[in-house]
Amino acid sequence: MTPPPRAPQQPAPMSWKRSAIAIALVIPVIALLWYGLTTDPRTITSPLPGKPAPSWELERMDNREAVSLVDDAGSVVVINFWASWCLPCRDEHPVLIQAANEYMPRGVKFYGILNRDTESAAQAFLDELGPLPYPTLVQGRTHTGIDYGLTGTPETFVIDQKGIVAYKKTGPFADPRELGSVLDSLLAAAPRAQQ
Amino acid sequence: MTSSNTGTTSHKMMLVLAALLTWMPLTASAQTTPAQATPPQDSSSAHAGSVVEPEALAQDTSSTVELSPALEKRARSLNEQLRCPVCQSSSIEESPAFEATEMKSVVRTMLAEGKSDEEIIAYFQSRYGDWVMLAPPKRGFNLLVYVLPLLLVVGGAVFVYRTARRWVSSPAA
Repeated sequence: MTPPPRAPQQPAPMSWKRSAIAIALVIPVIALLWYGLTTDPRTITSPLPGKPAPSWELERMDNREAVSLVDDAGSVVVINFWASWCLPCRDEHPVLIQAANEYMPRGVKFYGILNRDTESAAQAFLDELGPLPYPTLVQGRTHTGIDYGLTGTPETFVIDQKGIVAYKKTGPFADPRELGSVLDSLLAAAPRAQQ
Repeated sequence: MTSSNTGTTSHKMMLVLAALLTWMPLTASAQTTPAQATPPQDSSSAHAGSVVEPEALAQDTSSTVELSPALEKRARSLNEQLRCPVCQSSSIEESPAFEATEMKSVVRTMLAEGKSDEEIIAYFQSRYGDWVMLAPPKRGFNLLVYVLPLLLVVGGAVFVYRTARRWVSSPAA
């Protein structure tokens, strides 16, 4: 009795098993690479929303009067970083004016903070496009922009009545309703804080 | 003959996958190359359609804080760890952008105030997130960045070794 000769070939199922393992290893890697290739690396997710707003004390551009965020404790505060040389800021200008005119009577505080700009250029911008119904502040030698993790202009932060950053907008508001919906929700959550 | 063909097909398939893996990072780097090749612009390119900026910036807070040589060394080391928020792929040490200059100024000020390196890094992370670190912190999802290449190298070496061994010992060879 001699044993039957062994087949010289590899069994086919083994190849499929190896292939399945290879695919199982490779698919997560491809998914990771795909995520990396389709994600804009310039998008910076701010860690500030949900955290206490960095405090500041800055001068008004018009009368050099000092203004502090602490003074507005209990109010909803809108801070808009802008510059005269930034084109989106020009588009956003009337939107902010409209929002401010609607919400300032309801107790919301608005501030513009000049970023990377000269006061003369900022004033020329306001003369051309119309004055803001709220103060423009200058950073001077402070680092308020860095404190807020600024990556450009315009950027807008909405601070709730407890001093927490409730919302951050990177880029311009195209529609006052976008800012309005955020303010409405904050005012509705704590209506007494605005009185 | 048939199973030999199946084995060859399997090898080819794995080689194609390996080639794909090699190609994809190359593609990724090719996409970022133009941005890297462009000199860092001192503009808020992220969301400002910037036009001409004023030459004399009233708020240019260039670093004026005098530091001892030891603190200068620490400042340079910290600057090299922090990513410029405007130019993306370079540190604030090598970037001439306004934001990078501001950040360098903050680093110098905090060092002069006696803050530790950890406190300074924590400050910037609290403002910009982990993104601000050129080298991602070794925790959570970021661990993949450190572990995955090692796994790929080891896995690739095992694959190449086993494939080569099979080719050498196969009857066809």
